[in-house]
Amino acid sequence: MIKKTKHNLNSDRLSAMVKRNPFRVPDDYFESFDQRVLSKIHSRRSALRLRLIVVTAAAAVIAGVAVVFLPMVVGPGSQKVTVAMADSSSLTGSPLNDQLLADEIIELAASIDTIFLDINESWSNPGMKEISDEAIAEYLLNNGVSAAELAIAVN
Amino acid sequence: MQGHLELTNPIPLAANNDLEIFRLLKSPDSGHEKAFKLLIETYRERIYWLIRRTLVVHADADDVAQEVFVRVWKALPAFRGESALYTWIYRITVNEMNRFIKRKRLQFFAPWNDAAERVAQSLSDDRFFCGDVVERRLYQAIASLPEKQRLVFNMRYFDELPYDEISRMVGTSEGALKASYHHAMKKIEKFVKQD
Repeated sequence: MIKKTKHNLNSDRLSAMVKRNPFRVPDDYFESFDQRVLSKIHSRRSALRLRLIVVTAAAAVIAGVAVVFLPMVVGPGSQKVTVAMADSSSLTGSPLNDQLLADEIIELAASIDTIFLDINESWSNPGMKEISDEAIAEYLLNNGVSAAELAIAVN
Repeated sequence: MQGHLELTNPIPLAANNDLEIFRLLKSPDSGHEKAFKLLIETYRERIYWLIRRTLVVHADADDVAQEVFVRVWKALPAFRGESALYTWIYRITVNEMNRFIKRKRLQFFAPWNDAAERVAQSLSDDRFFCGDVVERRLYQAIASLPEKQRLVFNMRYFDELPYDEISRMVGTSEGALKASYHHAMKKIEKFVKQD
């Protein structure tokens, strides 16, 4: 059936002409074809390389920005948590200081004008030791701690 | 202007060049580039004309032909030789043509049944077409075929490829290809005889 169909088309006047190639290409089209393909390959490679450089540079900038600004954004909060979780026995060299929670020490420091307590400084900072035991005792007595409890803590 | 290919005498399959291409591919240093140049030299015309008969317009055929060989370049190191080289390149060509046709269709929102009119218009404007009225009518008829029938018709009728090879290239059974070719022939005969 297929052969017959092909024969019909071939036998037609049309078929004598249709297998002639009516299409043309520009002069030297095939001779320069490989050069055009190779230059296309090279230009795509260059574009890919450039894209890689841009992506790498962008990643480096983002990483740099993160390193600089991330501590500013999350810094104080995280330090506060660390203070709250710190072991009280290692806070200061003073036995009374060791009885206090971190927030109470900060409040105390705020109430005494002459003492500067920087939250960003470590608890072993000498600045902490400028709070005298007398000042702490007075603060505790004013805040509901009985004299007996205070004596037990001191001893 | 050039018209290189006599379609009644398709270029014989370049088996000897294929062996040389494989030899160059395995050789160190610049073997890959030499192999690729030989491959282009061997297949550029066959691939171009297959694409040109399908897409009709030279600029489109040129774009797709270049893209085919760029893809071949990328995939060549991974080619294991499980099929003949020309079968592999034809398969890449078929995929690339399908991709191009889909892209064009999306670009113009045009249904494919307008293709015959568009081809007629292209041919009348195309300075790289020097066919007569009958040939113009024939290519209009071919353009009106569904994609797969058009491809099978071109491969079988112009390139005179055997069905088993076309089957490997387009991934369709020989029986289905024979049916496609038969339907394509019928439609073309009908189309050409309409006027």
